[in-house]
Amino acid sequence: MAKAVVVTFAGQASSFDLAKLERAKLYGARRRLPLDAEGEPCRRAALTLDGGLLLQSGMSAQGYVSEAGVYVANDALVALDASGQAMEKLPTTLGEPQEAEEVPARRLFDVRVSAVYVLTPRELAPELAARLAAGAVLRIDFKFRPDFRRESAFLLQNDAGTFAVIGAEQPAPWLDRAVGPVVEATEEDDVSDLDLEMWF
Amino acid sequence: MEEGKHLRLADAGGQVARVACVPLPKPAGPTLGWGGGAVRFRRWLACTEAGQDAALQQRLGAPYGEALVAGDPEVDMEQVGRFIGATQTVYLASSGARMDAAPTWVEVVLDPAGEEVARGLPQVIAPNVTDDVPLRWTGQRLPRGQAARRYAFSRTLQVAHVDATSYELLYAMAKELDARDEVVLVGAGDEGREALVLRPDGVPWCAFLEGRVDGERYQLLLHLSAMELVQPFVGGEEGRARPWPPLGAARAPAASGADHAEEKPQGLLAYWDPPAVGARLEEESAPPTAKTLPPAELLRREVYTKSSRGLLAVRKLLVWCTHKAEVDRDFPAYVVHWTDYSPGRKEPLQRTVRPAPTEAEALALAEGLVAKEIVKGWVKS
Repeated sequence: MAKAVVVTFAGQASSFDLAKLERAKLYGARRRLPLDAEGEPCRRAALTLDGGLLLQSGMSAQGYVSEAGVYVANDALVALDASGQAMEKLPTTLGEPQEAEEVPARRLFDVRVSAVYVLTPRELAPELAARLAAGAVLRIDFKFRPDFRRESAFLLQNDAGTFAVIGAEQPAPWLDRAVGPVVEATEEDDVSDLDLEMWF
Repeated sequence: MEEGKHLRLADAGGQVARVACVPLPKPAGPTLGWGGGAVRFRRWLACTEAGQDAALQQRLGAPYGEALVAGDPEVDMEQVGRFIGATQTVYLASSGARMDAAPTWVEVVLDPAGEEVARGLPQVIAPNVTDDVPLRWTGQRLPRGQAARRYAFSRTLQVAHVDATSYELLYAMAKELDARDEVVLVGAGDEGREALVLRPDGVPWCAFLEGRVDGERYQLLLHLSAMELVQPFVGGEEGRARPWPPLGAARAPAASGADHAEEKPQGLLAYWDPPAVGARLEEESAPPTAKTLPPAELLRREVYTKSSRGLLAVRKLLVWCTHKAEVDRDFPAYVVHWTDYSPGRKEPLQRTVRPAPTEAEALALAEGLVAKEIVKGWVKS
């Protein structure tokens, strides 16, 4: 059985099974398929810009090389922080008790969401059950698998169930009258350039 | 603050201002490194089409272990190891031939269980967030906490003023929303009732404005959601719990070029993100110029064999100097190639290919591969 999310709140432990919630599982999906002249599915390939190589599945390899061109195996890579210092890998939090703190629901609006899980209680302590049912949002440290990023899980309950919203907090800057304009207002702005999703 | 894009935003009373819309700065994440320096992700050629298992079987018959011992038909030393830069997507017909004309596209609709329910001509959804049609407040407001518990907000844009007039309008919006502890659904399109589509064929986003004030400072944030916090599909759309009514004040934008709109699931969030159509550039680099390159030189070749159930398995090391790195930066100076052929395996031919900048580095990689892969029962040929 997969490891559970274990939460300690008010001195009592609770645990939950988790299942990833994805858009396609809620609303379906659409896929576009290329067909050849016979109406049969095409295969996708890549052509180098000089036209010299047609790359099909299995014809390429990939990895990391140092600035000097030395191949670096994945298990030799280290993570560096902004100052270039090596970082320690954080262990998974699954199966390990995590202390929960109650936070204002509005903090969810500061979270850059990376995943959402549906939680199914294995054991639910009365105090935690009561706070979730009352609309409280609880934050715990969360790492699905060991890596270098710190993330939080925000546990919440609505009429559809119990969920964990995963992400890192990213508060927006305050703006005052003196700030801006952030974009030069010109008549030459091209409407077609308004591709906001390019940022994501 | 980062530079952003202009759009127009109307308040509840219909007053419109031209404003800036900027993404929130990404949290600084770790970078990968090694030996105190940075590393770079690269792709390189592992084999040519002629070196793939299917081509070898066709040319040599199967099994072809003896041919791998006698020669190196699976390796093109003049090409393998070459770094791959920019590429263009092309399509191959079912016969394997490269297509001369663009493929015909069909759109396949899958239900939440992953079953195909319809197929037809692709629908094109045009972006509706433009610089000339304002986003408008709808009448849909939700308490801030309730919205946070109903929707997964995976994108946020910050709305910022560009002059004194827009400051007054945005500050007033933020102040009102903050005071009421509410968010308001905003809509796009002529009537201001459509979900926001930010790019061609993009996801229609359910967009809520949230405001905060602190003295004369404010934050006005456009939170985008494409997913409700509800239970996933369990054996029938009717069985899926959405305990709150759908957002009726906003609707999905119309698709063009569609003659099967009835196949599209209904509801504000019931859309998908299709793959981009046509060719695209995957990476940046200048195309190499045609030139005559010097031939590669084989430095080391070791072949190991093992018989198993009458079939010959082969493991082989090749190390070569490309003699091309100085005249073409798309090539490494040296290449280490490891062949692993086992005719009884589902994937009979596997390989490991590593670039190296020096002969010493290449030989060290080679020693590592031999030590790891030649452990028991292998006989050097």
